Amino acid sequence: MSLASSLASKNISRKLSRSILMTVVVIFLSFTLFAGSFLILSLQRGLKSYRERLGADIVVIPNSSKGHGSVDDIFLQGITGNYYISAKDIAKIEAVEGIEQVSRQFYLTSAKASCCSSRIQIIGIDPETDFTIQPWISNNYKGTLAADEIIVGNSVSAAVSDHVKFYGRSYRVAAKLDRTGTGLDSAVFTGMDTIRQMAEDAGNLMETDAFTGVNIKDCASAVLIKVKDGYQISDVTDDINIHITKVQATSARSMISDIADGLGNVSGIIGFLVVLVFILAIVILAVVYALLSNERRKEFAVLRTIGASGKMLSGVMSFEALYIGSAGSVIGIILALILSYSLESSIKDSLELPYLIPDVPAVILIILLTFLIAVLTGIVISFISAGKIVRKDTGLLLREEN
Amino acid sequence: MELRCENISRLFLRGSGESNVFYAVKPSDFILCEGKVTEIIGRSGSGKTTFINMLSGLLTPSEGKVIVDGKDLYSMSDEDRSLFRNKHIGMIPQGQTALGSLTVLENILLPVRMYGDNEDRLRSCSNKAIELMERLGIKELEEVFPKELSGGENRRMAIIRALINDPEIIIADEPTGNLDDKTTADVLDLLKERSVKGSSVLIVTHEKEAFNYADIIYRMDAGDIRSYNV
Ligand SMILES: Nc1ncnc2c1ncn2[C@@H]1O[C@H](COP(=O)(O)OP(=O)(O)O)[C@@H](O)[C@H]1O
Ligand SMILES: [Mg+2]
Repeated sequence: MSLASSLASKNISRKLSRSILMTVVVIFLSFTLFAGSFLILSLQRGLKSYRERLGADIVVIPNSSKGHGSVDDIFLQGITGNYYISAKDIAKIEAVEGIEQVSRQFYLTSAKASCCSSRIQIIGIDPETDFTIQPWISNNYKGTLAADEIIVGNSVSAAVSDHVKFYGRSYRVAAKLDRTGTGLDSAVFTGMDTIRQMAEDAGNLMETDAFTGVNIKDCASAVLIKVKDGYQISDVTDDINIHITKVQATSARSMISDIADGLGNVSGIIGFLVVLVFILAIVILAVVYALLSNERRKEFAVLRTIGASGKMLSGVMSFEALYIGSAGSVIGIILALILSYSLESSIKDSLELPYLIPDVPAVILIILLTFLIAVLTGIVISFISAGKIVRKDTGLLLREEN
Repeated sequence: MELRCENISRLFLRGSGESNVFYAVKPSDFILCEGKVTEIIGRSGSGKTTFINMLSGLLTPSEGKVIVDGKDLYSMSDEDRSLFRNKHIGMIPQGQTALGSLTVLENILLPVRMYGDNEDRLRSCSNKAIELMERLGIKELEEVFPKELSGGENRRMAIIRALINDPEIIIADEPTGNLDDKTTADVLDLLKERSVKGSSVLIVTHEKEAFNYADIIYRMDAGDIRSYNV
């Protein structure tokens, strides 16, 4: 071990309160850096996943669902209402100019299910025409769903091959999907025939009166549209909204940009806080070093009388900063890791934004960067404060405390 | 090794007063001879510490040169000067100078460890340190940390630390300040012995009893350094 590093470790262990104070500052710094970037990355990943899930250019929902289950609610929170677009209106939508593909979805809000503590959203898709959900499902499931099979979102507490009961009938879980960070994580997906069966069962069991007078066989909860090349999404949206009174069309891009705005705000605030804490930590570290430098001046002057060069003295301080920085940032990062993972669901709920925690390589990257920044900050500050002492004549330093 | 000053002086700023720049050491020539004990006496505030700090390479003179071994101490790089000091100049500063996070023995061996970790040399210096500690009566304090030391024990530690590398030049600023008569005699005997072996020894003191040890005496008065004849 070099002299500088052994002196540094002796200084740390024998000036314990000073070392602990510095370590706490570094813990504070690295905790904030890690937790802040973890949060921002989770929001960004959530948005990305949401954008991928949405996949459609235009989403059409019935007018009657306005205020109950808006498009945002459906996709973000997983709140669907039992409202429907009639077969007649679907035909009208299909006839609008500039539409390349149309796919119906059927939503059902279950009151009771053996798997779940709260109400659960069931989404029926039409495998023939679907272009939004299936690409995602295909990551986990390649087969064709039988009438008694369902696919569950990532946070539904049912495993593959489990049987789950809806409205008195039992269904087998054929697959479980990847996490998306959106409301779809707590949804259940079925084919069209299956969900119609469920709706009929629900009607028979009188669990809901939403289907009274509705022709379940032909209607839909939402219609997703892909626009033909060469047509403006906004034109098609307007066309639908003007000509078909009972439905409401929304451009998917505008939904995403709403969320992106919200996300931008939240990320902005978090980023600002991280920068603030970072600056605060730098100031505190600099002040602590300045306060401690009085004690050091004498120490350094004595070292110089027995032949230490300026470089050695800077070395001693840098090693101290390295050791304290490493210990502090490891502790800070571990604390932030524990907190970020354990509070995942409550953070998600309180933000009301798509929130998907980063994958392992990304987390490792934040860990490394946080560590590097926290340690380097300490070393740079200690180097600067050592430089101030080193430049002064030893003879002057020796006098100071006498 | 001979140490020579050419016309060195040091100016300081006074905190208050009519003329705010003054000479703590007026321009002076000075030679520190090999194999002799040279003493500087003078009242407190006469500039002794300022003067010998300049000789040790610890305080840049306002003017003039300090030449050791044919080299100008202050035109060396910081690294060269530090290494030179470590190898050739044993400096005992005024006051309490133990490093708080090291034991007494670790303090004493620090100059040896500073440049290179030769185990053999470290062992032989360690034995030498214990011998010297025994001689100055602090043998039993080997593993003790400085905050438990008395002022006099702290000074003796600093003296041994300055001698551990067998420097050719020994500069001591009031080394016997906190010591009783017996220990003062022990310390001065030790320094005298070094000069007999060929070291150049410079001692600052204001105690007349040290006179019996000096080969050459200077007296400082308000920054003026003059030969002093008894
Ligand atoms: N860094 C400094 N700034 C201003 N004045 C100083 C400084 N160092 C020493 N002095 C002044 O220079 C004079 C000589 O001081 P010093 O060399 O310590 O004297 P001595 O060691 O003989 O007691 C004193 O008047 C002291 O106040
Ligand atoms: Mg003095």
